[in-house]
Amino acid sequence: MSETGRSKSAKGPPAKRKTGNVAEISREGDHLRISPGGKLTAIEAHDLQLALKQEIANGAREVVFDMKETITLDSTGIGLLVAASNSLRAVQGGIRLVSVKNDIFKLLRSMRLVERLRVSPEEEQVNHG
Amino acid sequence: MSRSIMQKMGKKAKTFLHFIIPSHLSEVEDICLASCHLLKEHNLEDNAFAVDLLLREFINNAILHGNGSDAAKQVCVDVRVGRKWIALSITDEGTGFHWRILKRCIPEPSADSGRGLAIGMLYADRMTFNSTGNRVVLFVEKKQSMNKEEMLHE
Repeated sequence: MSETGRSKSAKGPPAKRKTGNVAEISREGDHLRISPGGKLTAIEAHDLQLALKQEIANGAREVVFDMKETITLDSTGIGLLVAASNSLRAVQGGIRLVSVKNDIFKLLRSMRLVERLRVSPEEEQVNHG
Repeated sequence: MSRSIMQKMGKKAKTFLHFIIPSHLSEVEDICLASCHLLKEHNLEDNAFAVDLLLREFINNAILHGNGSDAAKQVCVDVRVGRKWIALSITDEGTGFHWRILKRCIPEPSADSGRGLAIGMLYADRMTFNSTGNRVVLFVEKKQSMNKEEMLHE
């Protein structure tokens, strides 16, 4: 188990940690939740990619990116998400993006990635079309 | 409209930013922040996402692919707010690339790279390269948003 991981039988809240570029990662069993913060760009992607590789190697299979704080995503950040999706598919896992802001949702839609990355827009958009 | 209000207030907003940076990705953030501030001064917040994204993509490209992350080489960035357009010019010191044979398509969903130029084609209304391909100019049509003060003067 990684430093962020915990076994399924462990009690208490999931372990949390931050990468060098302030993404917050928490793990419970094989489920990983990542909050990238305001940006997921070339600067942030390197540290997060290393952390993700480690978590997948240590058994993470379902990864949720909570994008509610994220207002900037570039092609390197998109590349990270696709690479994570590819790695997880190879081990029968998957990725989901939740609470995605409108501009980022449109960007991912234009890149034909909504289905592949299982992208859900933020609640406000769902309620207000 | 916004210009007339600024003149009434005795202020003249900047229309041009010029940066020369070493080839470090850490330099990109300040340019994006300053450019967003410039757009805000012109009530162009509706263009902010596209301009920020285009700057990141093409400055990153210039640093990583154009200059090969060689810190001794520089990247020159100009941001200009015109009457109808926002123009972004990014020049590196590399040998350029064969932009004439660019694939003008969106990469496959399983591809984990290669979306930078596709983003350029989608988010810029016009994208031009110099003959060698080490300079790109991106044009974004202005989407002026009215603020409360402007609505009162309308």
